[in-house]
Amino acid sequence: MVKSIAFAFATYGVAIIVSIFTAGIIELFYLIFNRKEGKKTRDGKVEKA
Amino acid sequence: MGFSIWDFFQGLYTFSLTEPKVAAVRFVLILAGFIFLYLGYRRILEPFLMIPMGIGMLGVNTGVLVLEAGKAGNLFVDPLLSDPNQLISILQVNFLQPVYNFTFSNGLIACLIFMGIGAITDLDYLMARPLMSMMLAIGAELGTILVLPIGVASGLHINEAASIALVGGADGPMVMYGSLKMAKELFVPITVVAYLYLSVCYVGYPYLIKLLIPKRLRGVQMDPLAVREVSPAKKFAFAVIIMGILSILFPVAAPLFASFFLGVAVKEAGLTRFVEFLSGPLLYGSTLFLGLVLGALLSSEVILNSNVLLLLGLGMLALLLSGIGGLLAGLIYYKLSKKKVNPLLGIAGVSCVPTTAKVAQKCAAESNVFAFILPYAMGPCVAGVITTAIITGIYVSGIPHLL
Repeated sequence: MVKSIAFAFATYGVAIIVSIFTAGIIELFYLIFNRKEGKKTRDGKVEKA
Repeated sequence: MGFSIWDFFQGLYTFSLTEPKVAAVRFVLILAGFIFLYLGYRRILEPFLMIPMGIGMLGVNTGVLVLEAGKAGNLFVDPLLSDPNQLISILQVNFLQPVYNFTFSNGLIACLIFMGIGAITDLDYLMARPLMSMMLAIGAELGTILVLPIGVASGLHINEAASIALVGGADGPMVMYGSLKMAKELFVPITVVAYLYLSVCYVGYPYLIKLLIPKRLRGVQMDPLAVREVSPAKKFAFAVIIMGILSILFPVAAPLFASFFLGVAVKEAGLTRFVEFLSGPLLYGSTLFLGLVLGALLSSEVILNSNVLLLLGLGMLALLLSGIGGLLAGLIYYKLSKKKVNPLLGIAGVSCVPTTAKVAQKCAAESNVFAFILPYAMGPCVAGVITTAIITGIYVSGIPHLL
């Protein structure tokens, strides 16, 4: 029982870390692509990075 | 001549061959088959699953005949056979046995469905608000986490408890894959429980939302035009990289990751023919056989397993807790965003693509006709697939070390 509680919460911890890591990778993509392509504004124009 | 009239009506005769309890359960399952068919036909439950499942249940429980050694059986499928010689013989007799052995017992059908889901999944909304989407999805995994110790406390083995806990992730293929890897003997009831509950999500979650979120908050408007644009190249690169990273971290779930991101990759690469195949014939063909074989596996022997009632309760609890967790995460984001994020986005984190996102939109529109949150809700909905895959990977690789 105690083992299962510990395992469940350890799983939650790892899942949170991996999720933040995944979100970080996506943000990194934006950083790299926007630097290369320039940032698009809402009206479709491209700002130079 | 030893013929009797009952030799011609074995479906009826076999009711008297089995114990009264088994015969009674068989009768109940026949009725349940009719009910599933009715509910599917009326679109109250998911028709793509309920109609093949109802036909399978009806067929396997009505079509019982006397086999060798005077035992009652059917010509559909026998999931309990493992002896290679018996298996080779039965593959030539039972019509669904090849489908079961070559696509179910190795998890292939879950992967095929995942390829189809990947091909219809749009990563735009996840990539537009990645942290919010992932955090809401993590909140909506509460049931997947809490039902594991609750299941153990209720008397299940930790591998069985983990398998039923995955219902909280609301991804049918993931539950099927997880239970095949962790608790093969309970794979049929767990998968049936999962698909049964997933098909009632659309009906059940609005009540939970109305109970937990005040009407004023349900109607919070979000600007659909503020979702940032994501190019196919970015989505393709993300799919490929994240698939590689997740497979390195959780190799046991690599077939699921590969299948899902294959679908996403061919879509973003613009391979229209592949997308048409994955999202059409493959996805719907697999769903048809999934429903039919699941129905055919629902014989009285399976239902009489003493754990089935417990699994029904735990499955419902897992989805309920995940819904509560998602809505709580939505409320936290509402506060953090200074009341700009609609808390209903949290329910979309439960996943079950795209049902929960539609539920969020439906409830928001009921409170405020100008609340259009579907594009935002699709983010946590897709993120939910990834978080459930992560948790499945941890459970499948970690649980054997705890046994």
